Parts: sequence; structure tokens; C-alpha cells
Amino acid sequence: MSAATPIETKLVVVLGPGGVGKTTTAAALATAMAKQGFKTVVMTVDPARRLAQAMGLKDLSDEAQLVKKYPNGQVDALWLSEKGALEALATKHAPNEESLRKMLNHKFFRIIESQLGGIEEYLGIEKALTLVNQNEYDFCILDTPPSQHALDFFDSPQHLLEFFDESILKHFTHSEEKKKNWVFKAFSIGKDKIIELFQTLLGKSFFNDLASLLALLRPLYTALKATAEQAQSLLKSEKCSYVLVGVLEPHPVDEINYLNAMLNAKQLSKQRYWLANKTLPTSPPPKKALLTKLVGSKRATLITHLASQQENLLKKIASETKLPDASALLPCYSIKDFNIERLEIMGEEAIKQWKMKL
Amino acid sequence: MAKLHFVTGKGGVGKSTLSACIAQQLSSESKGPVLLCDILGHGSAAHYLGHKKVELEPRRCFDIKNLWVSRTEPHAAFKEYIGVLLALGSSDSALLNATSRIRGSLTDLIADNKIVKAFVKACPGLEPIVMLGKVCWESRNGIAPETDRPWEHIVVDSPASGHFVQLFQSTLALLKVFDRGPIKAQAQKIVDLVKDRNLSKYYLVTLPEELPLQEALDLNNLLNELELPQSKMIINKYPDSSAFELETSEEVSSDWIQHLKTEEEKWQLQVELLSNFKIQLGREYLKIETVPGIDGKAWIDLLRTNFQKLNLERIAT
Repeated sequence: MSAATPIETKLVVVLGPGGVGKTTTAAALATAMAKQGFKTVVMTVDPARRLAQAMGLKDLSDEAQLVKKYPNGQVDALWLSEKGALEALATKHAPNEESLRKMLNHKFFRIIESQLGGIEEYLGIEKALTLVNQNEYDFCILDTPPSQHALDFFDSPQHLLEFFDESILKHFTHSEEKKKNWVFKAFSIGKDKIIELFQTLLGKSFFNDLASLLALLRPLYTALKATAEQAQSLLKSEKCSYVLVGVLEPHPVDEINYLNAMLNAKQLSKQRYWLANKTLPTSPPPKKALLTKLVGSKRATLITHLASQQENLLKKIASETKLPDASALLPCYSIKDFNIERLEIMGEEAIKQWKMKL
Repeated sequence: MAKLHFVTGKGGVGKSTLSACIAQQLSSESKGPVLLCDILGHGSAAHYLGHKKVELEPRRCFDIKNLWVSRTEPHAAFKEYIGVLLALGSSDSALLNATSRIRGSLTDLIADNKIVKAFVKACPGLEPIVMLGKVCWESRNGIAPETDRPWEHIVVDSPASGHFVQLFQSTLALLKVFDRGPIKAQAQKIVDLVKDRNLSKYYLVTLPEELPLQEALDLNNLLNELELPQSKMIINKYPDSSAFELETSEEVSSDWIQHLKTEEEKWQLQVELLSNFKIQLGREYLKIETVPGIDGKAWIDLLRTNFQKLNLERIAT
């Protein structure tokens, strides 16, 4: 890329069930694209030690660090920290120093931080949005954090908004104001009863402490709402594409199918690719007797079974499912010498099989 | 009091399958009814037993003797908790006062009320306390529907590692910050039960891979720090550990030779990872080997033979 060409950052979101190699795939794509002459950044949460080593990452940092320079391209990595996510959110959006200090020192702050789900996912989306708006990279590859359901990622802004919802928080924080306003009062008798109940259940001072923290957190709502709306339109736009990663086993394949259907239901961008990771060769496996001689009977039984399971699943995918047309099968790569060149090979192979236009 | 069996581990390691298996094994070993309860999930453990629709109310798992299945989520558990308080009355006079004043409309108010939902979510420790409280209440007072028999065992298919620890951490942390009120008493009851070595059992499920093993060790340490009873570690998909050396054969195509080589490396790495893991863990773990070609209920039947080694009845008594 020459410096004169204006860059428009494209976002690639990598999705899939846990343990299938999402993070490795994201890193591989960023590396392969960089090798082909683009400036890329991979954003990941908590990579395995082996992957971090392969990329030469040492410290946790939410600033992009250079991984490798190529003659025309470059790959950076950005490591989203899992810990202290609400603190990060508060630091970013608190109206002033004083209110930030009050939030962080509040005795319930850490407890709320530990129980409020979806902040990591939200911070990932927010950071991606910032990078896309800055237009410094050609591609931003976002690895989604492991979660119970891969779709938690998309729902996280909404979940957080529900938590910070002003119309709810104000019931806990503005009881004095309410008493003066008779219209408000008439509508909120039921709500007051609930508050009375909570006060009795939890103790009044506990309730008041909580109300004071919620009042401090209220300003975060405006910032969250704006980001959530921008993120929604980015995730639907042509700037965004999706990579679904799975392995050829019954449960992960079901999950990928479900995920793809949900992307349709949410009307997210149609630029989609899917990838089967850690596959067995598609040629017929050696005869069982021969395999037994080579690897022992237990392993031979396992491999024979996996090969036939894979064959059946591939048939099923071809005939019954509506997975994206762009598909790629990657083999099990050797664990030895796991390094950045290996990532390049993986990524290039996927891009080639997908016929992805860069 | 029913004995509690909490099953947890990183996402995707086989928690639900093993919960189903433990529940079925217990139901075959015990005289009394067994409840398999999914907290914060959709009841996937029961799906493995062929029971598709899991409700908040315990339902008989159709063809398994002595086994009931249910699921729970925070808002429902909170409603139930308030219902119990209202029905039983309370020794706390302030609460009794408040509840009697707001009784009539309260149930309607709480049902599907956005504010209550938000509050249960926002209030520090309330969600963990109502979730664990529900399980503890079942242990103390729960009766298998259509029978008059109390539960003998409750298997809790629990949230993944981090969320699981947080359930306990918040409850403990809140014992310190609550000033008074019935919720504090509730938290104390929960802590007494989950720390009781005779009544509460913990099973950590993991896989022979780098991240899951590391997470299992971290989780084990966290549970120790919380002074919960020592857990049983279960390694799912345990590799065949018999030694082997791959010879090349001209009869095998090059792609398969390449594949077998990487498999060999993987197996060697797993053996290495597991031996380090054992040293760091400092105790035995249970191995669940992958058996190809079967799944669903047949797989669970087969897994149960592994659990006979665990001697659940001995653990239970």
C-alpha cells in the first residue's frame, strides 16, 4: 500500500465455539494478509502461551504492538485484557477525575465488576470500532472471547445497556426528586413498593450504598448507547465480514449452522466464510489392519471412526445446510515449530480456498 | 438434606455430559430421588439423557428411575425466594411488616417486572445468592414432585469456571458488606452448606490441552482459596497413553502419513502436559477415555462404568 492511497479499514469478525482454534485462525489471517502487502491488526483475548510465543508477544497491552514487518505490509497485535473491564470502561467514560475516583473506591465496585457479564465483549467491539474509524489499518481481525454462546458477543452492548438503562437506574437513585413530583409519584407507587421490599431484604444502608454507586455509573449510559448504535451499523455494513470457525464434529457443526442462521436473523453482513479446522485428510484412510499395525488398535479404531464421521458430516453440510459458499478445510498442523511462518501458511491456505478478494 | 454435586469446568470440555452421567449413576445407586439441575443454562445435560424440554419445575426424566430434571435462572429464582418468604412468614418483623403491606400486588409486580430484573442483575451478590439459594433450598426442603420424598442428591450442572467461582466469591464477599436483613441470613446458610465436606461435592472437568488444563489448575486453586471442599478432577478425552512409534509404510498415502505424524506429536505433547499437570495438582485425577462410534445415551451408559471407579456412593455417604 502506498502512503498516498486512503485506507478504509475493513473488519473481520472471527466466531465459533470454544476450543476449535478461533484465536489461531484470527492470527493466521492477519499474518497472511500482511504478507500479501496489507497493514493488519489482530485483536484477541487471552491467547494460549504457544500462540503468544509464536507471535512474539510478551506483555499484556491494549496498545497495538508490532509483530512482524513484511516488504509491503505489517501485522500488529492487540491484546484485550480480561481483568478490570468495568474499570477500563469507567476510566474511558467517567465525566471527570473526581467521579472516577469515587466509582473506583466504592466498596461495591469490584463486586459489580465481577458479576457484570459482557464487558470484555463490549470492549472488544468498542476497540474495533475505534480502529475502524481511525482508518490506519487495511484489516482489523477481531477474535471473539470464549463464551457460553458465541452470540453473546453481539448481544453484549444490549445487555450492558439494559444494566445501565437510565429509566431503571433513576428509580433507585432519584427517590427524593420523585416525592416532589405528584405525576411521577402516581405512576411509581408499584415501583416504590418494590424498592421498599429491597430495602427491607437487604438493609437500608446497603441499599443506599448501592444507589450511590448506580448514580455514579449513570453517565456511562450515554457513551455506551452511542457505541452500541455505531457498532450495530458497522456489524451490518459491507465493511464487515464474518469468519465462522469449527471442527468437523457433530456438535461444533450444529453450532456453526446455528450461528450462521443467527447472523441471517440479525441481518448482519453477508460477506461470510467458514473454516473447518484440524481436519483429517479427505482421501480414504489406510485399512484398519494397517492402521492398527502403525498406531495400535485403540488409536486405529478412533481414527477410523473420526474419518467416517468427517465424511458423513461433509456430506451433510453439502446437502442439508446453508453454510456460506466460501469454505476451507485446514489440516491438523504440526505442533512442533509452531511459529509465525506456520501462521502465514495457515492463513494463506484459508484465503486461497475461500477465493477471498483482498 | 440432599447432597450437592457441583460440576464445572471451562466451556466446551464436556461439563453437561458428565453432569448427566453423574446424575444417572447416582440415581441408579441411591434409593431416594435425584435432581439434575442446570443453573443459568438451558438444561443441555438433560438433553443428553434424551429429555428435550427442561422446565423451571422439576420434571421426571421420562425413562430413568429416580431422576428429575430442572433448570433455573435468576429472575425466576428470585420470585420463588420472595414467594417462600411470603408463604412461610418470617421471623424478621420488619420484613413481615413490609411484605404484609405490599403482599396482594407483590407477586404481580415481581412477575416480569423490568426493574426487578435489572435490580437482581445490578445488586451485588443478589444473583449469586438467589441462584445458590435455590439449590440450597432444594437440598433442605425440596421434594420430588408427585412423591413425598425429599431429594437424596442434587447434581448441579454449573456455569463455566469464571462465572462459577464468582457465584461463591460474591456470596462470601457479601457476608461482609450486608449490614442486616434476611438476605444476610440466607448468604450465611449458603456458605455453611457449600463448605460442608459431607454435603457438598465438586467435580472439575477438563481436557488434555494447554489452556483447559491451565484453567483447571487455576480453578482448583481458587476453590481452595475459598475453602470449599477439595474437588474431584476429571480429564475428559484422555489420550491412549500406551507408547507407540510411527513407522512409515509405503502402503499409506502421504497425506495420511503427514496426519499420523502430527497426531503422534499431539499425543506426545498431551502425555507431557498431563504429567506436568499431575505434579502441579498433587493428587490423582479421573480419566475418561474417548470411545469412538457411540454418542448420546449409549455414551453416557459407557461413561458410567468410569464412574464406578469414582465410587459415588462412598463419596455420597
